[in-house]
Amino acid sequence: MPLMPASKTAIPSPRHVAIRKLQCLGHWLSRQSLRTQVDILVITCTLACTLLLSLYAYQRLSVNIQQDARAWATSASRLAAHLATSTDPNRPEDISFAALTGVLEETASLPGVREVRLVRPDGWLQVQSERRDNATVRSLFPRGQRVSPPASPQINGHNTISVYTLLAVPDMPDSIPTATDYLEHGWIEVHVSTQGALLGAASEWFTSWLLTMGALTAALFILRRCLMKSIGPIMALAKLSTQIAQSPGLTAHVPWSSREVRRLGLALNAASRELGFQIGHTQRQLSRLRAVLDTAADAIISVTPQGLIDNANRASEHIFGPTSGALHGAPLTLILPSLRIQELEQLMRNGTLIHSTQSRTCRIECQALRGNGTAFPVDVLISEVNNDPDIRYTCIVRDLTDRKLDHENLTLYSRAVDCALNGIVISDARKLAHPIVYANRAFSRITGYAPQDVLGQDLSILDGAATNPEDLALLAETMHRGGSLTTTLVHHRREGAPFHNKLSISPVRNDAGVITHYIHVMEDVTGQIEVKQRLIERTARLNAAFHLSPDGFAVFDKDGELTSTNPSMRAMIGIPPEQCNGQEFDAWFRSLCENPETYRPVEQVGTANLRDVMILTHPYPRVVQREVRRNLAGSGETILYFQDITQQTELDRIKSDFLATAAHELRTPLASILGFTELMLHREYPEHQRRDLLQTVHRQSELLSHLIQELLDLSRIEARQGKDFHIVPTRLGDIIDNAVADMGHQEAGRTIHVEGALALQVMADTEKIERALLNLLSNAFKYSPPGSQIRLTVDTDASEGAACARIRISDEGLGMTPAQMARAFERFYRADTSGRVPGTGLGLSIVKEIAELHGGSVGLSSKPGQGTTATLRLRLSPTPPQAD
Amino acid sequence: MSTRILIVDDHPDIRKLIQLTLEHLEDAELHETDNGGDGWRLAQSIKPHLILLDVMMPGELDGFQVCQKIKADPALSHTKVILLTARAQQTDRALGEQVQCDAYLTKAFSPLKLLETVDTLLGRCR
Repeated sequence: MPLMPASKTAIPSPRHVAIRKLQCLGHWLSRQSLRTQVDILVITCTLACTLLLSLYAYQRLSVNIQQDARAWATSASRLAAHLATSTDPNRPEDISFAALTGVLEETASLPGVREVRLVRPDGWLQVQSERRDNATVRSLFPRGQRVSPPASPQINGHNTISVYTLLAVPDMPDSIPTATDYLEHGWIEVHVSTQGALLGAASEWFTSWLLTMGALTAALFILRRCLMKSIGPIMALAKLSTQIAQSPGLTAHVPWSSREVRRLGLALNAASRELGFQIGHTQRQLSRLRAVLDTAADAIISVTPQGLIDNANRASEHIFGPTSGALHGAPLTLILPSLRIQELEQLMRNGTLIHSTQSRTCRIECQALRGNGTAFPVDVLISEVNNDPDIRYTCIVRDLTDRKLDHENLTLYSRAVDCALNGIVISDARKLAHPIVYANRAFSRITGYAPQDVLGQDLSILDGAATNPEDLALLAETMHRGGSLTTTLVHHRREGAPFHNKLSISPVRNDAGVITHYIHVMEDVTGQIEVKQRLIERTARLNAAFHLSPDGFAVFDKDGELTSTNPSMRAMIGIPPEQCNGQEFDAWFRSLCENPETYRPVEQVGTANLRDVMILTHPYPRVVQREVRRNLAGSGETILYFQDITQQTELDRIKSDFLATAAHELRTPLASILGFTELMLHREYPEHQRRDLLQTVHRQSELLSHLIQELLDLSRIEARQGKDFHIVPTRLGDIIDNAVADMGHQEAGRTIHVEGALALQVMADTEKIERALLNLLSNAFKYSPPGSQIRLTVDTDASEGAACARIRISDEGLGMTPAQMARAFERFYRADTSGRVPGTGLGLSIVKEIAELHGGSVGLSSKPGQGTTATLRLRLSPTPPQAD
Repeated sequence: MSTRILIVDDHPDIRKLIQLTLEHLEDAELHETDNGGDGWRLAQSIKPHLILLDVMMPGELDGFQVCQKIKADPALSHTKVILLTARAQQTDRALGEQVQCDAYLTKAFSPLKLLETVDTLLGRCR
């Protein structure tokens, strides 16, 4: 551990101490204000002056007093001495002694005299008069005291002057008496105290000093005032100079006391004013800047070199929202997370250099964070700050959210317009020709013109030969008066093809209400118009179908009101009541039914589209099939469809009857056959009965055979509908000959009288016509008595339309009633069902089928009891008849 | 007491067949007619024990109607009815049941079967 070096402190000499102390005092003084200094000066001067003056005065005074006292004492003592000399000391009772004592007393009462002594030779104090408490005290010392002789005639003691005067007058007055002298002669002692005089003088001096002081002080105060008058401005100026910092522009208006002060004052005032002005100016500029900063919509942030936010304007709060704590001092990454100080510096290195300020700027887009944590896009303009030690960068941050939204919206709108299915064209209405400034893609698609082709042109490029001038005139007039219009007109595509254009035009106004543009929206409705056209045609067709349809329709609207019926329905069923609803219709319809209870009202028919068959008796008997269709295509309409199935029903009935009858007819002979044969097998019958039974069986078997044959024929004919008929031109006579020959085989003994144009050529299937003739002839035979005549006549006849061949077979037999004739051609119909007349009941049916499938006809005419004539008509063949 | 049997059929051959079939029945009294109307009147008058009715007959009444009338008549409550028909559809059988026939035979029937049926019905009666 090193030793602390002992500090060699030199013991300062008193001189040094004094100098140091004076220096301190000097420093102290220099720091004091002028006033204080002046005061100190004044006071010091005053004191010093007065002190010196008074000391001097006092000195002089005391000297004077002493001199006076001495002179006094000397004189007094001399006086006394003189007196004393004349007196005898040993004779105090002398008047002269009394006078001497009196003089001594008087002398003692002189101011300042303290003691007067009369000392006789040998130092014999004889009389002493002293002053004690303002009283003179005489003391006689008869037998005296001895006092020692003075050393000198004058002794100046402390405040006392003692004068010793010899009683005898020396011969040599200039010589100084010695002690011996004194002892020889005696002396007068006068002790004069100067103390009182001095005291008095002192008090006088003190008073005069006070007075002088006062006067001097007053004088000096006046002096001070005068000084202050000089110094005052300086002080004011000094005060001003301190206040300038706080209140710049403050001026001191003090009377100038000296040239320097005046200069100083003026300069200071000027400087203060200038400062005030500058500061005011600076503040105004500052507040202006502040105002600009605060009203800026963008956030203006200054960033320290450490990446902290130094200052953020008001807009920053709005943009970034409440942040945790104030922005000041927060790191920039709090609001712009991607901008750390390193990134900032990197960005600035690559930024644009501005030559005028030699600083760089750059602009980026990034994400910013709000106080509540949401991110939003911003545009940041960063610039360097070069001359400020605290600020390194200034960032201007613009919230792009709205702009991006607007941009997105605009993009959306623009794209929407471009993608719209309708063609959209915008023309400039401020120019006379209304040039096109925009056309979307759909326009190109519709018209075939690319947008760039039509820019600058007007819409008349779409006009062509098929365009109606009236439409164009209307458009022009509308645009001229600034109105809107929707119209359909014919325009032409680029290649010239016309199309129907549904065009809507409307004006676009600016804020002042002046029309600046026209927007044209177009739609190619060619298809629609064609569809409409087709629809009209279709509707007309359907209406025609509705009216011409043989089936009946009744239409009810969604409220259940009958809206229309077609003629067939009215013909089929009748005319329903006027303006009836569903219920009234049902009631009316029900009244027409044969069986009203079975009628199902329209409401009850659900949506299952069921068919109802109704038998009507009014206005005439018929069978009607009803079908209900509801809610066609959602329109709520109901359609009733009526089909007259009377004939069909009848046919069906006939068919089922036919089947039943056929079954019956077939089974009946079979029953006989089966029954009889069974009986014969199980029982014994006599021969004649057996024979009889066997005959029955045989007969019935034959009948069954015929029946089956005819049934099959008929069925085949019906089923094939004549497709397997071999209809060719044939000589009628040939067929007749065959038929008659066959008949001859069957009915021996009966003859048929044949006559007529047998050479006629007819369109006939030989086999089938033969069959027909056979059936007719067979009937003629069956229903006429034996021996009666049967005639077959052939001719042509044109009474039923076109000319045809007519074959008439007549008999003279039973004939037929009109009722029988009406049913003669029915299947299995037998005029005689007793069984006496053999027959299947199918004969005439077959003839009718054959005739009709040949394109001809068969008919009957008869008089009951007289005979029947069957007439068969056949088509003539076109080829000329062969020569017979 | 003889058993009265009434045959109603429009075909003479069938009538003959039935007659031959039933001729050997003991105490059988056979009556016949060829239409429904006469059949009904006869039934009312002779009150047969058994009636053989053909269904399909011309005239005012067919077999079903005669059967219905017979069954509805309390005086003929003991009369059995056999319906003979060439119609063999289900509807026809149902119709037969509806008119409460006692037996339903389709043509062509076996005479022996007929005999059996008659025996059964009359046996019950007896």
